Formats: sequence, C-alpha cells, structure tokens
Amino acid sequence: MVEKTLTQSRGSVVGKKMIRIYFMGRAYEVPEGLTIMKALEYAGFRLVRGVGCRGGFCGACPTAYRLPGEYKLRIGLACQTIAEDGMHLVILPYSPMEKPRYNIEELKPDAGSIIALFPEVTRCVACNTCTKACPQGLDVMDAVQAIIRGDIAKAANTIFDCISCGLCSLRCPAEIRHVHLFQLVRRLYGKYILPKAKHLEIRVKEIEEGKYEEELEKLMKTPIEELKRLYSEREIEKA
Amino acid sequence: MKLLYYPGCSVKRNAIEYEESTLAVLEKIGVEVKELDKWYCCGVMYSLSSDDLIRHLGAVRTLVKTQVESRSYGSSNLLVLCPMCFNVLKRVDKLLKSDPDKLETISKFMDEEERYQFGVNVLHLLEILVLYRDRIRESVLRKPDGLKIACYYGCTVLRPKDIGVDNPEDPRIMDEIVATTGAEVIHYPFKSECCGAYQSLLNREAVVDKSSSIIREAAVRGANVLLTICPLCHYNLRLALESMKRPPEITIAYLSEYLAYVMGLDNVVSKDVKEFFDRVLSKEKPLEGGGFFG
Repeated sequence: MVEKTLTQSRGSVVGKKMIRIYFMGRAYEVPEGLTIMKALEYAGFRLVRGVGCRGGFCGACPTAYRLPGEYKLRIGLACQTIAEDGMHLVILPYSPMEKPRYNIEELKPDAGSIIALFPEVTRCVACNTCTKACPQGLDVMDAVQAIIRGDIAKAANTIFDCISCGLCSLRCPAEIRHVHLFQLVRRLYGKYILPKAKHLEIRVKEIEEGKYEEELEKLMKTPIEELKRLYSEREIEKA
Repeated sequence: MKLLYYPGCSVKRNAIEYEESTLAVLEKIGVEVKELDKWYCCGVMYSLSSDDLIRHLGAVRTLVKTQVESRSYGSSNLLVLCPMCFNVLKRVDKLLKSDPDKLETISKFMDEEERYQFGVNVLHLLEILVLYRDRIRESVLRKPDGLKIACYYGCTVLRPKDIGVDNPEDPRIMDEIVATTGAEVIHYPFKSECCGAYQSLLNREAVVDKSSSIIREAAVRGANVLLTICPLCHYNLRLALESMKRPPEITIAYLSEYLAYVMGLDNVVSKDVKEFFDRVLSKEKPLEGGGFFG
C-alpha cells in the first residue's frame, strides 16, 4: 500500500501546467505529463507496495481509474499510464487468493487436471470482464474458455505475456483465480507440450556431473580486481 | 453447402471421435465446414430464469462471432454437433428475437461486440445429413449386413418442440439417414427417452437405471447397434452398458462413426466400434475378407 509522508502542496513547477488527480478520493495537484506513479510521488507519497520494476513488467502497480464524465472503469499500470486531469484512481497491488498445492509430476495437461484444482473455471459465463481488466491487453476470457475445452497450448500462448497483476481476478464475477490458474497452465504447457530443449538437458547433466566444479573453485579464489579484468575482457558472442 | 462450425467444449474434450468422424463424413459428401475462429462455452444449460441474462452471454457472444465471420466466409449457417449446445444456442437466438428489451440489455453490456442481428441459422448435424441422403447413399462402400440399428435421439435435439429438429414423440430424421445406407433400422419406443443427463454427476444409479432400460428395449427388439448424436448420452449409455450384469451384444456409437465405417473411413472410427462392426459383418459373410463389395 501507500504511505503518506508529505501532505503540503509543492506548488506549480515552472513551465508545467498543473492538473488535478483524485487518489483514493482526495485531490492532488500534480504537473501534467507524469505517470500515475511519479504523480503520486510528486504529491508526497512514498510507495512501499504497488511499486516494483517501474518498467511495465513486474505487475506490482495495477491501477483502476475513471476519467471525468465516463462510467468506464479503465485499467493500467501506474508506472506506464500518464495521469490525466480529473482522473479518479486507486492502486490495487494485490488480489487475495491462496495458491492450491499440486505436484506437477502428477498432473496431466488437460482440462480435468486444471478444473480439479480450479473448479471455478467452469463458472465462466463469457462476460469478458477479465479481458477488459487486463493492463497487458490479453484475451483473458479466450484463455479461460480454451482451458474449459482442454486446449492447453492455446490457453498458454494466449496469456504468455501475463504479469500476474491480478486485476482480472478482482473483477471476475465467476471468482476465477487467474493468477495461479495461468501459472499452472504455463507450467503444464512447458512441461508436457513444448518440445524439450536437448542442449539444456545436456548442460544440466554436465553441471550435475561436476564438469564445472574446478573452474568455479578457481573463480572463487580469484581476487576481485582480477575478476573485474576478466569480466571486461571476456569474449562476447558475435551478433 | 458451406457451414461455419461450433464444436462445443464436450466435443473437444470428451467426444473427439464424434468430431473427427463427422468432419470426415461431411467432407466425403461434399459439405464444406469451417470451425469458428472464436467461440465460447454455450452455457451448457439454457437458463430458465427470466432475469438471469448473464447466463446467456456465452451463447450470444458465439452468435455475434458467427455473424462477424459469416460476412467473410459467405455462409451464416452454424453447424452444431452437441445437442446441448444446439439447444442453448437456438433457444438464446429465439429469446433475443422475441424479446428486444433483453437484447438491448445484453448489447449494452457487451459494448465491445457488435449488435446481434438475428441472421445466424443454428443447425444440428442431423438437419444437414438428412439433406444429403443421396450423397450418403452414393458414398457407401461397405454393405452393413447384420447391423441392426436403433437410433437414439435423446432430449435436447427434440425438445422444446419449437426448436426441435423433428417430432419429439416419434422422431424419424436419424432413422431416415441410417436407412439410406442400407442398414436394418429397428423401431423401439425409447428413442427420445431421457438417458439420465447430468445425474451422472450426482446420482449414477438413476442414470444406469434410465440408460439400461433404453439399451434393453433396443436389444429386446433385435438391435445390435445403438447410435447416438450426443456426447452426454454416449457417456451415460456406455456407463449403463458397463454396469449391466448380463449386457446384451450391442455397441454404442456415434451416428457419424457408423456413417464413416460404411463409407470406409476407418481411421476416424473408434477402435472398439470398428472391431464390433467388423465382427458382425464377418459373421454375415465369412468368406469375404473385410466385407467390402463392389
């Protein structure tokens, strides 16, 4: 959540037009053109939850907002969405849900295995609210529907870019726990459907057999300056 | 004829042999079929409560996607295999036609989709096959001697009457299709008796009881094949047959598997069904290997 450390207005910034945003119902004057995250920091909030990579990848800052005169509930990441005048917003960094326990070795890549762990999947009525709630613009409902019909590959590919922000799970009238559901789908797809990477298997075997032990030991004993030199002079794979 | 095709979840998950055999048979008789790019769970049961519109969304969305795709494909006929899906899609189509206020509410909610214009013609497989009886007759390669076939329709392709494909008390449409292939069709009174439906989840005994009486009645009248067009009926009938202490010599198969078999499309017929048919045919004509003629 957010922790407020500074309440007084910073006043206007030279050359910047100020806009008014409403964060959890309170008005703040902030310069135009900032992301929601920077606008909140400008307003004096120190973000300790609902902030992460600041690059649109980690899924920590999902934000719901409405623009003036609109009923549409819009969705975005606070670190990626530009604050607009009259915007009402809240950061929703967490969707409450427990992850069901399972052993991936005992599951099959089919609808039955998934529905046994996530029975709510069959409550999907195709309302599409999840899709509208996705800051990544993924076809969330299509993925859920693909799971119901047992098309695990399609489901996994549809939600490949999911950042597990959990907004779909907060909005879903069927109360589907998408975050953990989709993680399971990706795991099943990776384990049972995608072709195995042979070179990876060989390398893991080499590591297990201790092929690199000696080299690692040598590195551990190398002085830091020597390591730095080795790093900067290392051979880089040609493009 | 060109058809858009809605498979439904049951067909994709539990009745893939129904789909494979149907698509092979339709190709053989010259029907062009294209699966919808996007389709959704129909909702399984048509919701009877008058204000629970959200239960209809999956079906409405599928009808809208069909409408969109029909423009580029050039046909708004929508083929459905599963009678449950057929029932829901057709009833939702009818509901929206007869109640503009409900369509208005649903359209406002689904504002990311275009409005449904009622142009989609929901058709069950039986309605297609019966139009192609001549092509089916011409495509038969294997004379079904010895197969005595009882057609089982179940409920949802026939009822309610105003969306059903045939007379719910005495349906003939499947019998006519099967008769075209030269097989002996057995008449029996339980063609549209309930198999037990979703009681298989809650009360298996009720299902075994209902489905056993259907099987026994067909067998008593001489049938050795019971054909169905429904994944749920197929499941329940097989469950009942496996549970019977002294099961009759009868196999339960999809209509499309039977048609594929007589057309020589063996690779889309379930192994056990093919073996059963082979066995019956070889008894009839022990000297002709494989049972082919012509």
